[in-house]
Amino acid sequence: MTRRLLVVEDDASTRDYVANGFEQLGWTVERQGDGRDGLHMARTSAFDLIILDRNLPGMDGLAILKEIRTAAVDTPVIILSAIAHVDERVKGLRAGGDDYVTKPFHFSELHARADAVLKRKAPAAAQTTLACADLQMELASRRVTRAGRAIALLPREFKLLEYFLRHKEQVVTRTMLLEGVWDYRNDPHTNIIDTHVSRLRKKLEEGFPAPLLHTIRGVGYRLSENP
Amino acid sequence: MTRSGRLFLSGRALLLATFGLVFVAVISIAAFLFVDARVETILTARRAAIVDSEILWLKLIDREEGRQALIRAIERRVALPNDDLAIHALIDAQGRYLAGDVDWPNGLVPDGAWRPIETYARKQGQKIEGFGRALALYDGAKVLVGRDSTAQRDVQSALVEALLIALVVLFVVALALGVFLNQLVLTRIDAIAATARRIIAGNMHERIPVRDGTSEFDRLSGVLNTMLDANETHIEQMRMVTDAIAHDLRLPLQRVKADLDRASQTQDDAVRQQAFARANGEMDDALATFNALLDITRAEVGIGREDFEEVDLAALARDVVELFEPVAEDKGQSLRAEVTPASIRGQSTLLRQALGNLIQNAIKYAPEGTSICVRLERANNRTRLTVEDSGPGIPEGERETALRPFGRLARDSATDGKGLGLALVAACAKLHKGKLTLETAAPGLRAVIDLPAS
Repeated sequence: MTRRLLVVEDDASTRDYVANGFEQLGWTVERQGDGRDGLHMARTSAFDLIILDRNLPGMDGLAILKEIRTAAVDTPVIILSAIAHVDERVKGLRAGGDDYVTKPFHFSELHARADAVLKRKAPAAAQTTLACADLQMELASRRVTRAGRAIALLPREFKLLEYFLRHKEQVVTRTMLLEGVWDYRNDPHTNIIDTHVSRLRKKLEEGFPAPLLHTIRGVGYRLSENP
Repeated sequence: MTRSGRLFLSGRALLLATFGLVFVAVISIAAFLFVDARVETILTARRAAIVDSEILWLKLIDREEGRQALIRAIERRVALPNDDLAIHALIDAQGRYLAGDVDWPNGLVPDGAWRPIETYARKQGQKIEGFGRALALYDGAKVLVGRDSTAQRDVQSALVEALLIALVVLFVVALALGVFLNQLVLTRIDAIAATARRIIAGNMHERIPVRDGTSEFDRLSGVLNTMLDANETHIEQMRMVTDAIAHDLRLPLQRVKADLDRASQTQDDAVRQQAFARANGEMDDALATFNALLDITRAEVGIGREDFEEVDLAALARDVVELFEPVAEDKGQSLRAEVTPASIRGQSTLLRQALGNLIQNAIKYAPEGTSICVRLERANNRTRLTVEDSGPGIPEGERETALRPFGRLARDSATDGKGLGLALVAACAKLHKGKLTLETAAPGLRAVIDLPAS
């Protein structure tokens, strides 16, 4: 089933960058450059995801978002914005956005976040156990085993692994990890996340033939039993 | 407006001053009238009582000693010196004069009531006004005893005169004082206005003249001058920052341009890929610089205080230490946290970033094998978040430079950061109404974010 995406963005170059990216992934993409047209389309047609710029001619992005939510349309929305400050981000999420990506961004980052948002929207039962292949995590007892063998993790490694397991089979970017695991918004420009991941990887994969944590060059990581 | 003080007030001030003076005059007159009426009432009551006893005494003489004795008594009474205010009259039943110094007033009813009297003196015949009582005696004769109020009116008019003179003096003195104060105030206001105009014209170093520092105007001028100092410093800093931004953004943009040029000219795919990757990295750097500057500026001017929330500093410190622990370990340093429970109202993201910057600096500048300690303590209504390393520290003379945006130190190499890390921490401390200080930890560096406990 092809997924349908609505991109509302007034800058043609950015709009095409996003739209072409998703089209190459096999999505059907509708492009809109004006706020009011975008709102009309969001209300009259069904989409799997809406990517919405904040500064639009005709109507402000957040106003559109509020209108969409008022109309009881619960399609996931990712807000694109050149305004990076925390308070603006909070405003965006409060208005009903599912994620907030600041410009400039790389397509891979947007793609990873789109996947995460779509996955989150799928109804998830309260989980007590997370698993990937032969790796198991019991949330209540904080016990991690691989092929039945217990793996001792530091609290920070446990948190990191939990994030990966909750985003199993998805590409997870370094920024997503900084935000999701440590609530840290600015990239400190060190290989800090790589260091954390390589330590976790060592504990997960030492003595096992199949790798689980895969590095996606230039983008981030993916936890999966398939390379 | 002229540079020198003007003699007279502006229309509105003049109106106000006039209103004040009229108000004072009206109050004075009202007070006078009130006192006058009170005095009149009391004196009248006293006079009535005296007249009352006198007339009863005369009636007694008439009854016990006879009419001739009464006539003699009245004549002697009238002849007494030093009492020219007394009025006496006695007539028989037919209205014929028997004794006294005034004529019987026309139509006066002898009912013993205290009444106004208008009559004429027997000797000079001048008109006399006053108050008195009249009684009818047993055979229809009538006796009158009263008091002349002409003299009392003289006293009253003297008082009114005095009041008028006082009011005129008051007006003159008030006017003189007003002009004097006016002169004083306008001179100072004009001095402030003149300074302001010179500053508007671009002369940022101008300050308002302060005399001996004791008057209200000196206090105001002092505060305004402090504000001007602060503004000038801010403008100066802003200029430095914009210069630095221009430099720091132009440089990476120039490099990106060069990289893109190279990529467009080469046929070699590997070289092109390499140029693209480098351009990408340069852009990331420029962007990070840009974001850091925006964060600093926003924190400096206090944006975000309205979004403050309760922040558990202990948990925050442990989180950030945990984030950087592996980096320190890789460098053979030990990074540990010693925290006591403390929370403040603040912006969690910015505080996290600030602590992260301090820890990153410590990791970067302290050599291998040293230890870094993050400490959170509360004392005397203060919350202190400290990052201490045992590295070489920063020489005292360079510490202030380290806190400034784009401040680069001798220890930094050309490829090092942009000098924004500590500036952001300082701005964050300021946003939370605190202060960042750098101290020596003998030998290392101790960076303290000193915040008011909430």
